[in-house]
Amino acid sequence: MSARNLPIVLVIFAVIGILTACGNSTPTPASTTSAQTDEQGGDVSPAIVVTGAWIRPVVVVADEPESTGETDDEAPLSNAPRGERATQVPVLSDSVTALYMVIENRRPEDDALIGVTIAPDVATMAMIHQTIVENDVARMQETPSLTVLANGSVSLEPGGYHVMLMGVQRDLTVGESVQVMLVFQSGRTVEVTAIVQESAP
Amino acid sequence: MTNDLQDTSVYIPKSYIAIGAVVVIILGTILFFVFDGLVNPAQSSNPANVELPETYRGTALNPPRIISDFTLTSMTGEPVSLSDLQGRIVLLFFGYTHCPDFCPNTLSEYKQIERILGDESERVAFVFISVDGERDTPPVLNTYLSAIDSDFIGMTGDEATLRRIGEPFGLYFEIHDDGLVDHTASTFMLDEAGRLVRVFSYGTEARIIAEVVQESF
Repeated sequence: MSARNLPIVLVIFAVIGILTACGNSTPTPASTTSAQTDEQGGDVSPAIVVTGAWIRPVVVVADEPESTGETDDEAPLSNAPRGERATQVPVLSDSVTALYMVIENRRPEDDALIGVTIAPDVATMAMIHQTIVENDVARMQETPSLTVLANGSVSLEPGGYHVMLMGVQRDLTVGESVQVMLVFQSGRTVEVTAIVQESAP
Repeated sequence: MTNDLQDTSVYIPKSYIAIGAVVVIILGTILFFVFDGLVNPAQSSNPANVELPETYRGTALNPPRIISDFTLTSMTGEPVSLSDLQGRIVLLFFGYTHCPDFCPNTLSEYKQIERILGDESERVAFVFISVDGERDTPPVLNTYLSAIDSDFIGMTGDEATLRRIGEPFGLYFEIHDDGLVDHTASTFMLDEAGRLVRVFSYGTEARIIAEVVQESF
């Protein structure tokens, strides 16, 4: 065996080493669901830390300032179809905006964001979405469950993951803060204060 | 292994190889942890971000593509034609106002370009054409765009018109039942004569677009 062989041997070992490393570290989309064990309160430090939550400002588009509808007067509140003039609350708004943040999972188990709730007088619905640009076509894809790996973090940011807020009920102007609640697969919930601003903090 | 090689090589004891192997295995193990550590945080990297080469300055069309004049509805409800913008460089993209993430990103990029250009930005028309004419009526478009920048020019029209005028831009759009719309993500640059001269892929930095615009004044 000559010294010339040594590098080759080393390379082979290194390749094996790296392959092992890569192979093991690309986790299968971890559905380790660590069931709702919200382990009895021993934890002092928070398991999930959310930082830099912000919402893009939005001006709600008023739905057709109702043209003195005689028919509207006794229209029942409930099943007024979407397109029709809305004289009641909640406003039949279809204005949308987006919420962004960084979610950090400080536990040694994977978790996943599975829902976001927001006061109905701010927005009627919140959904986790991802913007995808493929072949120069932008589309949005719902992400019902957004995994946050053990000791990892996920960034919700413009052009990527975001929480789409639908049916925004009132203008959200720069500087104001909005409370939202994040619901995780582990059963944990996190209250977050998001600031309305033009771009990431 | 040829004799040639062996002649010039230095012989080393087998035990060295063994030690080498152990070292590599240890390195491999370390790598494993390093990679493992890297992979988790890496999840935070933006999956939708398009990586463009650093030298990317858009795709130039040579010769420029002639865009036949078209007329759409402006934010005030008046007709507005592409030819009305002649004499200015036009930056144009297609979107819709019920777009929570993508379109606001592009519009905030427009704002950055405007800021970089300073006074020269008056020589540029920033155009947003809605592909969702049914919902994006002139007042809706006006409310939406004016809140972002009162200088931006909004245009809207019905689907058939959009399909026709979108052709030279290679415009693709599809409106889904849930109200979301897939649409072409590029920004198009037209010269002062209204010819399509360059296409910027989504993700092109504002700084670069501003530079290209400045060079073409």
